[in-house]
Amino acid sequence: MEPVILTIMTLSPLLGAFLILFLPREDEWNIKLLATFSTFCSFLLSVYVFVAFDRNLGSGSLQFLEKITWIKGIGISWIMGIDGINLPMILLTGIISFVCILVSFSIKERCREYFILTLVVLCGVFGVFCTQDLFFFVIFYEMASIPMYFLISIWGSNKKDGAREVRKDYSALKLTIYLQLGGGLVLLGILGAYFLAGLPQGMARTFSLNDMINYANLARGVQIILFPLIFIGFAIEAGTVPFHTWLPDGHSAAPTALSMVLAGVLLKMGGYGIMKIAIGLAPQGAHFWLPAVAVLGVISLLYGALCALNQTDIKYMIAYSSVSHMGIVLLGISTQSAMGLSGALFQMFSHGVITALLFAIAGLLYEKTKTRSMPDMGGLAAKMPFIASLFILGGLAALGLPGMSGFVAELLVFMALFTANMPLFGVLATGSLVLTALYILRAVQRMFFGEPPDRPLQDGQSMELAPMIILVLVIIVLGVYPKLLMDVMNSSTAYLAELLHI
Amino acid sequence: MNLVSLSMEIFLFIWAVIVLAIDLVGVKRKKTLATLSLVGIAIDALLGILLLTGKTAFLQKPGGEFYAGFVYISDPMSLYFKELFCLIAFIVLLISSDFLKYRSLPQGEFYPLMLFITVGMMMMASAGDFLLLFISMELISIPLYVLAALDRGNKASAEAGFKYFVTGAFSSAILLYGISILYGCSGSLVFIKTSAQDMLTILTGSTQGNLNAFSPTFSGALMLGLVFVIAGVCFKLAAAPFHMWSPDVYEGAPLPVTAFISVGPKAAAVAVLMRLFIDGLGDISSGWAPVFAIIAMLSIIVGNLAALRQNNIKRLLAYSGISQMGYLLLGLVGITGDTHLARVSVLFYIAVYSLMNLAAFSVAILCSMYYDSENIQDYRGLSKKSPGLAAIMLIAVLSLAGIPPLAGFIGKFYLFASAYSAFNHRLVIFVLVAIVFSVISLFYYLRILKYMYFTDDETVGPIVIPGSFKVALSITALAILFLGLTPPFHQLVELIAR
Repeated sequence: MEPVILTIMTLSPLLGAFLILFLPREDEWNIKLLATFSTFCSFLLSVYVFVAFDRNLGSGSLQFLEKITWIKGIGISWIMGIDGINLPMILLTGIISFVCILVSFSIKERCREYFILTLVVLCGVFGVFCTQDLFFFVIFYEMASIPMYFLISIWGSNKKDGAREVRKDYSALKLTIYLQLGGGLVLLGILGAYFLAGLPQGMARTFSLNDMINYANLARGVQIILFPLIFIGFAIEAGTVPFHTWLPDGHSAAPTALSMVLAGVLLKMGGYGIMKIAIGLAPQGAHFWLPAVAVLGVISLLYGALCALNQTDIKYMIAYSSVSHMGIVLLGISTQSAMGLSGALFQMFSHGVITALLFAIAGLLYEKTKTRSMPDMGGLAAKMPFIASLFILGGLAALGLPGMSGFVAELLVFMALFTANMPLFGVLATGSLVLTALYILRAVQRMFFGEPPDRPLQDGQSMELAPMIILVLVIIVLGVYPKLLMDVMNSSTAYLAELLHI
Repeated sequence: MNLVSLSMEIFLFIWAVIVLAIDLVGVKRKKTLATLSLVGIAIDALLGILLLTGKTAFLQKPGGEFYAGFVYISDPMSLYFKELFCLIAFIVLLISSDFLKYRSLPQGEFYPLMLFITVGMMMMASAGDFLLLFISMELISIPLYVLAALDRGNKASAEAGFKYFVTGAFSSAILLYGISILYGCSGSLVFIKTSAQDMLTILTGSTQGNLNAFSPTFSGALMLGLVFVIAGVCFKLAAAPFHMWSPDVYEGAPLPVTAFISVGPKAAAVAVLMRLFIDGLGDISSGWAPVFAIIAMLSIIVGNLAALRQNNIKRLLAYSGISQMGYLLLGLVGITGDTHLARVSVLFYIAVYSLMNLAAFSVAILCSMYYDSENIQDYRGLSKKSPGLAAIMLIAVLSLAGIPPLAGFIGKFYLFASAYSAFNHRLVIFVLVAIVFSVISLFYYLRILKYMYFTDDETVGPIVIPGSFKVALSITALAILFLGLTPPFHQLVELIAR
């Protein structure tokens, strides 16, 4: 069974979507059950892969490799494989996808279409992280982003905030256009690398990422042109300032489960792409441009935090905090050291879990209080202690409290910044923690403390809280025992750092 | 003379005459004519498959066969195009009979004319000299002028026919003028690649005498002639700046005819592009490729920008078609880089383009019969009333927009790759512009979907899909879904492009 494990993991949600197509529209229970089952399979497989991964094999070698030649003429193959960089992302996707289907149980409107589209998105995300072929990468990338247009336009919510109104179809279109543009730039960069690869004599052109990394011999000048193309493409996806404007609108308009997927894993496709594809294909170009990337990272970090400080809408606040946290990922990458890259990867994982948790709670709160505006809430801790404590846990993790996963990630990146002789960036980044603490604690204070509301409000039921408890467990386990993830990443990030310094 | 390889054309021509005769004799049910034409096309397609598979050795050999007087090429590529024309004609016939009845348009003329046009397109794919090229182009055009004006009672249709006729005749004249200049330059009307000696044997049956082979060298006069020829061909492709006729003609002509105009003549013109420019003039591609690069850019920009503001589905698809041809020409420009990839990309995309456009038009025809309107605003709530129909429009439109994993994306992927290989990696900006505009195109493609999926309308009930439409819709939808992702079609195109 082993050789096809990744394919099964990727295609299981798609198969689920296909089967749901044949269920009657009214049969909501079975639709939900099927969706849960298919993502649960992927989840289990991702855990299995995580456990079975050989941590001692080291360097850039792929494990669980599957390869089928697809279109020979232009060198496209179906290649799936795992190394230390995509494995954490796959595990993250496994967790988030399962949790997001659980959260979606409250969906009532056009249930069948909702689950089909969501499962297609999840298949796309799994595919992006598993595939080692650039052609299929592009295909999965679009599979993960296009259905978002429909998911947001149909099941999303409008925002009315005083004079400014953000309609959901506007947000959906904006998100789609931005992501498509990002995808287009990536495609352009990939084509450039494909044609200029300068492969050794007798080797046919190929879209295989691994072959490109190992055999391609791109001229330095070309790499310097290609890297920004691919980087900007992925930076759009990762919500980096100044390409971030789709992110707050899109994330806030999306239905809860999709906000979780967007912030939890879709943003990570950007960060992952930068690490794996942009650096992998053009390491010398990356070496040239990474100082500029560090500037973008620090701007994202500070600007995102300042914007988050200014939001009254809870979902907008979380979305801007994502912009800010993704800045840390860029900073980690820009240190060009194994420690920084590991930190970036760790941050992606931990941020994925934390924002998913925060968005899940925001969605639940909206269901109960019918408002997303923080000043309108107030004093909820008295009425719903469980939800409040979960949110506070998530918030503390986000601001980097020791003992939680966020702390480990930020510590790694900050240490890497100082050791990489970037003290200015280090100081700015560390300073931003104050801002983070400020907006998180202020949000907690505004929403949960103060005068309790008069109307009767119910605390979360166990069914509603279960998905969030899973996420909290992950956060704490990783915070206490980060070695679990570090072991997996170390050899691969060391290899990547080596690539950067050739 | 070997008539076997001409059998497709001969058969279909005779069949068309028979259909015409049957109509003259008089049949009560016009449906019989439709069925007869469909059967004819199907038999013809089978004949083509026999030709293609029957001679495996034939597939290895480039070139083809020649007939006295005319150079008539019968090679795998021409067979590929002929099969495509059969498919296009088959689908158009499937989706037109109900519409013609609904609008009570003359059916007796429609079917034979469609078959004659198909014969013309087949001849065009096989044309190896300018004379044959011109004759077959007229064989396509003249019946099309008639078809565009089929709805005689309707002013818009008459206008469309007249407009098409005037501009079409003008473009034919320009093409002819270009041909005359090219003849002056090369001294030969034959444009396919073959040695002078071979051709002499073929044309006169003897090895004695002199004949100029078609091997033009680059010169100012040649360039002038080429520009006229390019203009003539681009008119058929509706590529900017020769596109002005297309939105008006599309809008005025009856919908099935529009569907046909949007794919048939374009596919035939692409066959000419392959034959004349890649095979015939491939050696001097650096001379003509920049012209096409500019036309491609203009088409992409003009088509996409103009489509943004259209509310009529026909006009929208007209402008979208203009931009699609721009992408296709961008692939053709790749000839100066990776020749093989350029051939593959163009051959692949024209088939995919035809199928996705036909899928979109099939849905549009059904909707126009039920809603009596061609505005996309009237597609409101279609996803709830007829989810299947909406789903097919969804994949057709997403494929046109180039969204993976649909066939349209794979096609564009080939085209961009081909263009990229040609631009010597410095003019990446062309590909960048193309990609940016394909993102812009999402605005109008998604607008169609927005009305279908995000708005409600209770006034009209669900659409009952007739059997013929079911066949057409399933063929096109399956093709869009699987053509790109499954290897066999790629292998076929690879083989044919060799």
